[in-house]
Amino acid sequence: MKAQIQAKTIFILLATILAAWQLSYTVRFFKLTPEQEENMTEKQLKTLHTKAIKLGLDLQGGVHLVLKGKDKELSNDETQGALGVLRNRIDQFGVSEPQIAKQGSNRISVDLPGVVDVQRAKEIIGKTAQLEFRLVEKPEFTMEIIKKIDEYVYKYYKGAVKDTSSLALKDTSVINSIFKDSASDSFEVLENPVLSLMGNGYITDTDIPELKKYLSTPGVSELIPSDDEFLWSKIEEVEYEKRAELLLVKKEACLKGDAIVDAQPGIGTNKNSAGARTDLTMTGKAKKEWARITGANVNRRIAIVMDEVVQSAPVVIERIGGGKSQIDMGTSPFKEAQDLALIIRAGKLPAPLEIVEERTVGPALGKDSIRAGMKSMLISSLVVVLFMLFYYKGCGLLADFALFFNIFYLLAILSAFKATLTMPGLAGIALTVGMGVDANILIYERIKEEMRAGKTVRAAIDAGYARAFSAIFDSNVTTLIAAIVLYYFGIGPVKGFGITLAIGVIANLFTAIVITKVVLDVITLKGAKRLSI
Amino acid sequence: MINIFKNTKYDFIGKRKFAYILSLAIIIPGIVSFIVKGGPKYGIDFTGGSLVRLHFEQPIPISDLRAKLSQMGFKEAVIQEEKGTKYDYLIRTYPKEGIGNEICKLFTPSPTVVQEDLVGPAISENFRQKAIWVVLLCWACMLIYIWIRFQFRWGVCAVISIVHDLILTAGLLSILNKEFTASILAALLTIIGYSINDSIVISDRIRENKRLLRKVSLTDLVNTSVNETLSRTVITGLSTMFVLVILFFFGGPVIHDFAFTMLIGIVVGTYSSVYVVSALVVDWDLWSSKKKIAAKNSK
Repeated sequence: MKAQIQAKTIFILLATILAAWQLSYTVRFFKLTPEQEENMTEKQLKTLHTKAIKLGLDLQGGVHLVLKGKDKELSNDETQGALGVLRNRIDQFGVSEPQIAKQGSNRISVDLPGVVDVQRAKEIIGKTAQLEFRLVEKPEFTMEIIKKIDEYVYKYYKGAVKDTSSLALKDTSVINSIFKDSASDSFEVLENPVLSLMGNGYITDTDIPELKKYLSTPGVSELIPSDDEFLWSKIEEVEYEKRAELLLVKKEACLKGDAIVDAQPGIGTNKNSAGARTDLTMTGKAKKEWARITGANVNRRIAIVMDEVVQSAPVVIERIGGGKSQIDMGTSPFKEAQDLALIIRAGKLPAPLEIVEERTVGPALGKDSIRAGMKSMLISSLVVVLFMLFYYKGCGLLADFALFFNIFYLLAILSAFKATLTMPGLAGIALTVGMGVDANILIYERIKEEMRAGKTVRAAIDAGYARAFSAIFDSNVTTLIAAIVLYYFGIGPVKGFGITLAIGVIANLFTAIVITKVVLDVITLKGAKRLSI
Repeated sequence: MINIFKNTKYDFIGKRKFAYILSLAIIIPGIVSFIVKGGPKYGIDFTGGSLVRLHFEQPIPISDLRAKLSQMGFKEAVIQEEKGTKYDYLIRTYPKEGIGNEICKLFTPSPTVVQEDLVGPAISENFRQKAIWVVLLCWACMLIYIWIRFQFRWGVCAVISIVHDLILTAGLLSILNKEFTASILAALLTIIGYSINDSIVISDRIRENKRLLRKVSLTDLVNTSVNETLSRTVITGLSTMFVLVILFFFGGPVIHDFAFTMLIGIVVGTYSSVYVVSALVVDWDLWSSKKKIAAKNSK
């Protein structure tokens, strides 16, 4: 008997420590002050974030979209391609933690948490991908322009350019914000502000925002030739460093994406038999055009631009007459070639997407929901706790104690499974509170019966637990069935309810039966005469 | 020790005829309401459509909102002022993107879009099918589980009682003109779980008593078991209802109808485990033993 109690106690302690450890991330994450946040490395913050309980879109605000092909169902390949394109676009949009996933075989779900400009998000997602080939300016010419900008920006921030009116600027708010920025950050511009950020043409990702700011300095646009513009390449990781390239390209495309029939990755280039390459096949019409462009621009680079982001900018080696081109991927791995082919194929995908489901929750409603959810959870817990205390006295206290652990484990398991907490989920927790005491009620009523029948306290407790078990088990299994069916078929917002209910039932079996029994056993081990029930 | 019900001996089963009449008295108006209104009043989850929740700083006349909406081409839009909030209005219409933003432009000061849901016809069709499958699957799983753990007869009666609970609750919702949304479906499934839960506790006691009291008739057996579990039935029902009442009042608009449906369901589910499951099993038993006697006599 004693050994059994000991074993159970150790198990309970272990489970509790595990749960506490799991939940500590959530507590730390939600208690994080801005100063603490600044002192943490990006990696630390990310770990904390991924391990903390996530709030659903309905609680933190945001938009949930489901997309499908507009005129026809997407094929598996097309869905995969569209997924890649959307990821690419949404990354540019700069939402924290977007979730883009395949739903079923031919739908795509997009979750954008936080405060989002829904209109813009939908525009970005809804437009058909634009793939273009654009001529890159010669490096010497680009360098010349950059040097000019470099000088200008330095002077500008030094205060040399005072007369902003000559810059023909209408938007004074931009200037104001820049001056405000420079004032508040006690920002000091060093010599060669632009050039110093550009190590052999590449810019590390942490420097990108700064450079973008310089490029948007009022007046800079006047230094760039009117038919050119600066475009960024996508961010790539080379030797543990994330970097991007800034390219000066022609505004007008020399060839559009519809010129491409197919793009496939391959292995083996002219220079390297194991090197990765991407093969492009042009349409018959585009063949001639392509031959002319490549013939006129040997040794120059042509940027493959998708949605204003340069995917790749290969150098033209020779005139391409047959409509078949090969992009030498250099030392990049095969996966890069695969990605590029996918993006080129997807970019020319003639399947516009359509939004079939949208759920937008404003941040105000989200906050209200959290408040309402928390409030009703606390009040209902309080009422149930007091009711149990009133009705079952000492044993009621024990059941309350079990209830507390029930919610504690429930939250820990939720965060371990990386489940998101939604408003229906909060309702599920509240309901777990109400229904969770059922197991203890069953046991206590049984103990009372056994005591009325004349059993001693010890015997009544054992009989109560033993006889109530089958009813508790069977009834919990049926609730579990309903919860799992709800989760599995998850219709829109009710999925979260199903999962919390299911976990609540399982946690409940443990807390209401195992934990309370151990405590009662310990109390009555020495032969108690009376039980406060 | 507090005992609300101590050694009670209510004759539940003897009064089952009244219960049958009571059930029918609620179910029939519900079904009539379904027929008159042409099925449940589905929410946009199941019909497809747009739902926009607008928040105004001050109250505006609904006719004003309606005029602006028909100006935009939404003549058939349904507008409703959300009770219990400060100037929130719900607009339901056919699925179209960006309605919220458009309306906001027509008002000064402009309201804010608190919530905007859009469910396209393909999705709602899918949801409708899913909803039916969910309910059927739930029934099938319960039937099989109870069949394994108890008896086939109990399983059938338990499933009949769930059907009873669902029709009764859904009928009441239809009479009260409540909308049938995805969260109402969740509530109905939870009710199934709860109702079965209750039936099982009673069935479990019957199963146990059967071993102890071999010579007692099924009617008495059921009566004894229902009486023995009565305090548990009431206390658990109460504690669950406390939570639901609080969710109903404080849970916010999203949870409101869910809590309401659950409240009805808990009452119905508790009632049905006594008066539908147990009563049906007793009647089934009486009927089959009568048939046996008739078969013997005819020989």
